Amino acid sequence: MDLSTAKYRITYEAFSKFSASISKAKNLDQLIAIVHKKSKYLFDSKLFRTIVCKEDIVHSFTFIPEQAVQQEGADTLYPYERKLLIDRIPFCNTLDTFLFDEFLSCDRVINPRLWGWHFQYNDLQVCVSVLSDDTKRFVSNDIEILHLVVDTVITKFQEIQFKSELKHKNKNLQEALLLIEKKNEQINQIVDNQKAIIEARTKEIRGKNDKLLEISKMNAHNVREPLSRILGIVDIIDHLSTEELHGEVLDYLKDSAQDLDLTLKQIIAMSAAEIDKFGLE
Amino acid sequence: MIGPLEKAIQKLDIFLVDDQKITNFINKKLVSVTGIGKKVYDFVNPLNALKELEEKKPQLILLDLNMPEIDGWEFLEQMENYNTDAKVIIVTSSTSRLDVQKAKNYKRVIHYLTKPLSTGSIEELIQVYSAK
Repeated sequence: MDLSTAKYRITYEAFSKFSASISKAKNLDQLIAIVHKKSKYLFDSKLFRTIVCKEDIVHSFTFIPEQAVQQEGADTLYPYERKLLIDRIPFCNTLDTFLFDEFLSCDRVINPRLWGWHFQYNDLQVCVSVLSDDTKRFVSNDIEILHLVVDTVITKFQEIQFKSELKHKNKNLQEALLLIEKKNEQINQIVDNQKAIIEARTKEIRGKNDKLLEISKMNAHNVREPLSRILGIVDIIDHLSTEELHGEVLDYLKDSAQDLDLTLKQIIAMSAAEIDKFGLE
Repeated sequence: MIGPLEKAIQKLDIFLVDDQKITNFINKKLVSVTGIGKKVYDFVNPLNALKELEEKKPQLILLDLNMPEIDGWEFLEQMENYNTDAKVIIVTSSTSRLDVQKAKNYKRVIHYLTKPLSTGSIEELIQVYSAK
């Protein structure tokens, strides 16, 4: 086994461990921590940066040996990254001016070279850049493993984003369901109220009907009673003597006619009172 | 018209029970002109009629329903406490179907007539009585 084969084997073993760890990451913080901890076993660099753009949202992740820095927003992009996003042409340049003062001091970097690549994953645009120097040298042989790392990490990144979106959507859905349930409850309450009102109204109307029926029944009887007396007298009139006729019978006839008149007056008054009471038109 | 009927039927002792004096007067007149009555007693107070039931032993009672002291239904109930075979014909100004229906619950009640009675309705009640 020659040296380069041995190096490959070690590298791929490291990659397989890296990839196994990555697959266990549950969120973005864990993912960043694993990349920060394990990428140094896969390739050398002074600084390693990944930009992930989805539509207008920009995430940038910067890894130096001491720490991993996560930033958001288009203003975190370096000019070379803006250029990469447009022309998508990989590059390997020496640095005329040192760009990464916010992450590490330029004194600690000897003969820096900056590598850059652009990747497209569906709707994600990814820019990866590696700062190499004489102490931590990134070489062209490392490109292949770097691509593998980017593939693995971005796939995981998408999975995490997707899960978090799903969780968010689920939460929204849950809230919507709760809202619907609440509205349903309100609707049911309204329906119940309506039912109660209708029931009460129906009962009221039934009561009125009963009352009116009773009045009409009573009226029929009360009117018929004196009327039947009058009719009865008229029917037997031929069989009466003149004395009977001019004596008590005529008085009965008068009384009965007056009773009939009184009853009719009472009925009219009672009907008017009931109409007022029920507020009927 | 009255003649043949008069011959065909037995004459009856009759109670007229109505709180209106005039109704009793009219009915008495009708019974008299149709000649179906042997003895005819009229009562304005139905309680008095009950008291006389066992002594006078009427075969037929013409009974009003709407009366102040006790109504016709109560009268029918109380009749059960007396030793009497009297049949009852309800004579009322009520045309309510409920009352007609209720009257069918009493075996004693053989007919239901609406006021006012006429010579025609007296003939009708005699036919009904004879058929019983």
